[in-house]
Amino acid sequence: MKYLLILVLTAAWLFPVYWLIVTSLKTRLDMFAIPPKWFNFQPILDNFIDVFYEHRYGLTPGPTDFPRFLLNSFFISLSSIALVILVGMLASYSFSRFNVKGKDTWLFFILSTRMLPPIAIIIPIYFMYQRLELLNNYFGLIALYVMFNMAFAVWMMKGFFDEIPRELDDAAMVDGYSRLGAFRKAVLPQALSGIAATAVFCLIMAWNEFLFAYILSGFDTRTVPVALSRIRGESGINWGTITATEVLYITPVIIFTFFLQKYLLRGITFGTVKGK
Amino acid sequence: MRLKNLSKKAGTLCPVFDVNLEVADKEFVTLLAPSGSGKTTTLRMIAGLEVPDEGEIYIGDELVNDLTPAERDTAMVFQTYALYPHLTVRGNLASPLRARKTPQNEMDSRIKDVADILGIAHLLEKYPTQLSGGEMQRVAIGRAIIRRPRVYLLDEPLTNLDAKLRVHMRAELKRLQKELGQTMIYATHDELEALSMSDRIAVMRNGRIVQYGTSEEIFEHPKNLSVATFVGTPTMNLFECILSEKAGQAYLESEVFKLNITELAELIRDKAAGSEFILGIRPSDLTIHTEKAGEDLIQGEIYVLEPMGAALVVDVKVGQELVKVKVPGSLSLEPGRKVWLAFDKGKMHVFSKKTKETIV
Repeated sequence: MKYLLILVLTAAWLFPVYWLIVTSLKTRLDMFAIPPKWFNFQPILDNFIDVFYEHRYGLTPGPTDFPRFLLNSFFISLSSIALVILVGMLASYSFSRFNVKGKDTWLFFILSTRMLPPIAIIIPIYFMYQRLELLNNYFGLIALYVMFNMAFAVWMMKGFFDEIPRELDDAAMVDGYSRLGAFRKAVLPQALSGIAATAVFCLIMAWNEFLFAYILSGFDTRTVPVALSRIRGESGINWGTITATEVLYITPVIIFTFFLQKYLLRGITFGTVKGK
Repeated sequence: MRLKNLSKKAGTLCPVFDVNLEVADKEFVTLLAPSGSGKTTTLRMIAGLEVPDEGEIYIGDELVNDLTPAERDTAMVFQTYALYPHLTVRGNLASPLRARKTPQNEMDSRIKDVADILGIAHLLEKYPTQLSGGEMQRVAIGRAIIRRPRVYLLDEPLTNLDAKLRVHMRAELKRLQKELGQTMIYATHDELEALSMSDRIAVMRNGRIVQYGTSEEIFEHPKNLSVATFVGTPTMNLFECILSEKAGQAYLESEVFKLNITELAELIRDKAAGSEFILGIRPSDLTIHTEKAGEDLIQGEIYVLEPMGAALVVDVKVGQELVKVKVPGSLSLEPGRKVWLAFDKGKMHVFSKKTKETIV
């Protein structure tokens, strides 16, 4: 019974992914075949080649800009999570350990940055960025993603730090380390799984973000989700290129998450299974 | 080491008020107090983990108030041991040396020495989660003694151990302290630990030091009622009484007895505030007689027997109260029997009922 439920849920979640992958391997004819072709088709790689090589009628043949957009995505996501984790880690450690004046107010303030739906602030942000000349600028998007993720990162990591006994910090300081040294030697190794979990969540958010990237980026800083929305076909929507791009795009996150899976599970269930 | 008017009121669950303490070089001093009395806060202030509101902390002759924990050169053993879970026993022992950039070969030899002293050489490559409580505790002590700091601070290091191991480690710690020849400040709520290990004991109550003295002083001459009842197992028997005089003789009278104390009367009268007193006598300073054999005996009836191996604690019902008497285990007694209790008058304690201070 338990397994049946798991099976149903998994199937419901995985079916779109499955359909995405098989579609990316089909010819246009197979994609639209009725009844649908589940397995019985000749897989082709043409769609993937199209992602990297332009050869449509009326356009100059040559390499596409996809690698550039992919690099943009990597650069913006990774820089933003590196910043979020670094700053958020120190902030949440401080909140966890020190009697910061007005601690609750600060924490609420940090959380409140997440209370507005992002779309509500996009127009002011656009004008701000225009004046600050941050449109079509890597730093602009990175700063924005840092802001989006910071509240979540601080709250989540504070939870992990709270779980680690303060006496470890104390012991390390008596051993002869500075506060920061104690943090690095005694606390950080304990918190790694929690930090990894936080990083994965932040990465997924930054990697998949579409709205702000769409409005605020230009050609130079375009990320893959934005590029995806701009793919057009000669006759109708070019599903082949779209699905192939998507498959390529979700692969790094899946790999990343897969390798951190061990930490993720431990991180998310931290405190519940750790007991005392 | 010296603490001067040390106070910490804000930001702690267990405040400390006006603590003055002088610890001689190489001395073993115990802070004895029930939990929540500020022992840990005091130790943490000495280590530099808490900032005092007021007062001065001297280690040697140096004022250390403004030094970081690292600069103070103390070592602390925490009640929860606080071993680093991600490091092996070797890594845990090495931590204080690493923090002070000790060369590798010296580190290895010191780890070996400490592991031999504490009998944990076979555990060096294990992680803390693989150790038993006693082993973790030894590693925690090892991490403290691997250096030669100016002061060792031990915060209830034996509390989490089972009874047998605790007695064993008590002796080990005392031997270790003598061998190392280092100043040690030890916090505990266990009077047996305090009495058996310390050169001097500071009894704390509600964040203040009530009495500071040797084991004998604390046990034989408690400064007030709270020290008297806190130290000693079973607890001291207490009787409320008043002073009365008749025909040149002075008596302490309670509901159930009348004790001739003529020889102490003057002393009591001098120091007393009021005429109501509390008479205290330790269970071991009472003797049981099965016949009325002399003056000043209290009649009672055996209520229950608590054999404790070599000794026997007899609960005697005197009037409405139970009096505990500790006697050698060989006496043959049975509940319900009528007995007479004799006081060892030299070991009697008289407290003022009003001030709770000791009079005699």
